[in-house]
Amino acid sequence: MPPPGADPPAIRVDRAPRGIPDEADPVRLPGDEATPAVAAHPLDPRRVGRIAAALRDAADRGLRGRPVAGIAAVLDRVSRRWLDLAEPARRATVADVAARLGWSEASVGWSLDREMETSLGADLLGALDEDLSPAAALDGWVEAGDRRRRALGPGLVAGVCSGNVPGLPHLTVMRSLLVKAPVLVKVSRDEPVMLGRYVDTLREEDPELADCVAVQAWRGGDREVEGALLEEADFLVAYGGREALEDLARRTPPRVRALWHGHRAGACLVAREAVGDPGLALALAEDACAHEQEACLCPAWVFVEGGGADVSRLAEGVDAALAEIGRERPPPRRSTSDVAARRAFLDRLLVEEIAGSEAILGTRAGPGLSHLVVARRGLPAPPAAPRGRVVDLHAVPRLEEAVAWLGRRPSELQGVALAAGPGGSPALAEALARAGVTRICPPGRMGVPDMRWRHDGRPCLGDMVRWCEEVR
Amino acid sequence: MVTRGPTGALAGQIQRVRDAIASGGPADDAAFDALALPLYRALLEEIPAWGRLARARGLPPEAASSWRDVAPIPTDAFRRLDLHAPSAGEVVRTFETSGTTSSQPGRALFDASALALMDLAIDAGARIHLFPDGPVGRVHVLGPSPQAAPGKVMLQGMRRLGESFAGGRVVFHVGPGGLDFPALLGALEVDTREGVPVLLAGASGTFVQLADWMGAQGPSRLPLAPRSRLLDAGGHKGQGRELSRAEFRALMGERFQLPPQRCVNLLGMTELSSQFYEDSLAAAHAGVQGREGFVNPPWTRTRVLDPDTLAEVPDGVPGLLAHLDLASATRPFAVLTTDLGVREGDRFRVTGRARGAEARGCSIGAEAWTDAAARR
Repeated sequence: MPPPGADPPAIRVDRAPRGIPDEADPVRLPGDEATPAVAAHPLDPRRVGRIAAALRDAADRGLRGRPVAGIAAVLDRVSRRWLDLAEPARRATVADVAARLGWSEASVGWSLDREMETSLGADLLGALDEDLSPAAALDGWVEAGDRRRRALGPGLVAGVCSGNVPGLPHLTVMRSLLVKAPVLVKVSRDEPVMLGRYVDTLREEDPELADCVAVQAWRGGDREVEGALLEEADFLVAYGGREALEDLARRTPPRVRALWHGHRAGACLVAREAVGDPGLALALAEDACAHEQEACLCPAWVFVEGGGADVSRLAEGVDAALAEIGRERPPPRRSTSDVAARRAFLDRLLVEEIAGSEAILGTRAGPGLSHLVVARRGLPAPPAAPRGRVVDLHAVPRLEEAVAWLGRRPSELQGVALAAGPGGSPALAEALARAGVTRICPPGRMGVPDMRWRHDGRPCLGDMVRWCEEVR
Repeated sequence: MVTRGPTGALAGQIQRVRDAIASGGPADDAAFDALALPLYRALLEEIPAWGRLARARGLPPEAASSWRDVAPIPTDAFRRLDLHAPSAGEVVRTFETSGTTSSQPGRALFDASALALMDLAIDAGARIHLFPDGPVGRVHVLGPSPQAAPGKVMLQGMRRLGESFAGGRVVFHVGPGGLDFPALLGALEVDTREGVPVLLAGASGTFVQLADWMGAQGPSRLPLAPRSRLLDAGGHKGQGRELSRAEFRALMGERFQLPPQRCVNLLGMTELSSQFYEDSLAAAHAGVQGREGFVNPPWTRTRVLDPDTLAEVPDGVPGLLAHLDLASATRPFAVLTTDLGVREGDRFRVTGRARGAEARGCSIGAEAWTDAAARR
């Protein structure tokens, strides 16, 4: 027990394969002032090299010879344990992540549940089957007419996580292990806690597999550490904003193949026929609350085909739905600065109204500006709405206009929720696909893709492997 | 150019404000109310947008019984609306705030009486906080002249300081290639040699650039003549390194051999006519210890508001800063800023700014997206 008044010990977030000695005491990451405090062993190029060598050895010993189904079975058990509300690792993680991010525990738990319930064995094997044809080539040579084929994962995967969607970093670990590659993952500064504990559970289930995973923390952009890592790695999975990814890309040797997961935006589209759907308001509110609207799949705008009256009516329903969700999953604790930004946004709308703009149809806010609903006329124009339980409704005469607007930045589009009424709208779906959208789903399900979704439009598992064929 | 002066009810209110500032400002809240409330009512007659905003906030102007009931207008309104009382006379100068990618600059419209009031407020504030020990020999400004950058109110104010407190001897150190540090340092050396006390004035970030330049190119130290002082304004705004106040003073002390109390920070806003100073120099002159924070001149008030409810928060609690400035008597004189700060007794501190709609997690910031899409 620490003495009264003393700071609680920092949570250690890094994990290394067995046999890697702790060469120094864990230290706090520079610039990180969130609580509870976290610490990690300092990393230098030499230690990166030692960890990489240990990961490769562990993969040779206990990963490359395993059937994929066996790996998926272990990952399935880990996911099921993390779905168990009584699991100590989950409980501690929910509490710590909630404290660090300011989210409610209910909201962190919701995100973890959604990530883990789509990380079960059937999802993993299904994703392999969809991304790799045939997936059995990961286990051995597969006959294909006059030839046979083999699929091989990278020698070592480097993962760089950013952002703070709880439960996202384990995706890189699962994908790497499924293609039988060891992986070293850098956790994000905002949410560095979950992945280490996930690896602890993996170790309890299967120590040999856990030895193929290293979790490390360093300041993003560290030339020495990242240089050493990129020397060792054969494949890079990087999440981050445009500047961070461009910086990393400049330093990544051409021989290292990569998946770049940049920041993206989503939208909801509501066709005229669906505006009156009874569940629509709740579904739109759910999408604005999923992962506290911080995931690339979450909607930044809701386009409603119709007039101002339709949108104003919908805004009322969404406001009530957001309040209802807030009772089950309380909104994040917002800093004075965040609330001030929301006030500044509302004030800009108010000024527009006073200036005689006809674009502003109305605003609604939850207590403490915890949620906002904005009804506007026309395509998005400044001021841009903040994120986090914010539903920014735009009445447009035709949804095709919204699709064309979204299509101006195709590489930054991700998910679209499409409410098209009975029978759907194949033409709109086709237009969205052409515009750059990578996932179309009904409203209410934007934040819950499964493993079979082609993340950023890529068959990620397929991208990670190299094929060899032998022609006879 | 002959310009028409204020007419009607507003003319009398402007004169009362002028008289009050000239005599040291309203002595207490009752005197402040006696100026602020009639001025508010007179301006609402002429600037209906202000009244609409007050009603939208649930602050009906007819119910205002104290300066605290005057509805502060968001600074954004200056970007979107022409906020000026027509009966004050024609607009002769327009000062602009810095714009952002998503919005045009704000515009503060000045008629002749407004310019005169601003000069009066600048003189009165500077006399207390910047020149308590009397005038200096020259003002050196790290920036272009008001002729070269007519939209920048800060430069206008610095020229006024030179006119009122340095016998008109004011030099703006910008050449065709930007800030002319060698010319500035050369001029300072001459003044030091001749024992001329100077005011060195400019944006906070520019001073850091100058200090870094001196560190790299030399001279790394240039002692100023005794009684010299430094005025920095505007924070860093992405120019150069960000320094704490203590670091800034230590750096300037090292470069110019200035005691810390002779580095005075100023907070000014284009939308207002008055400025808020640190009281370090005034306190030193009075033989007392200065304290951190900005002091309100008697004709101004600053409130700290809860960003959710816009209710005033207690001392020490952070919130949005709202300033009232009677010297801004021909425009909305109560302004809600996006600055965060705290009130501490007779002064306030600025602690940050409202965060924008930037990216979080792996979602792209809607602002970046909307702006970029709009530009295509």
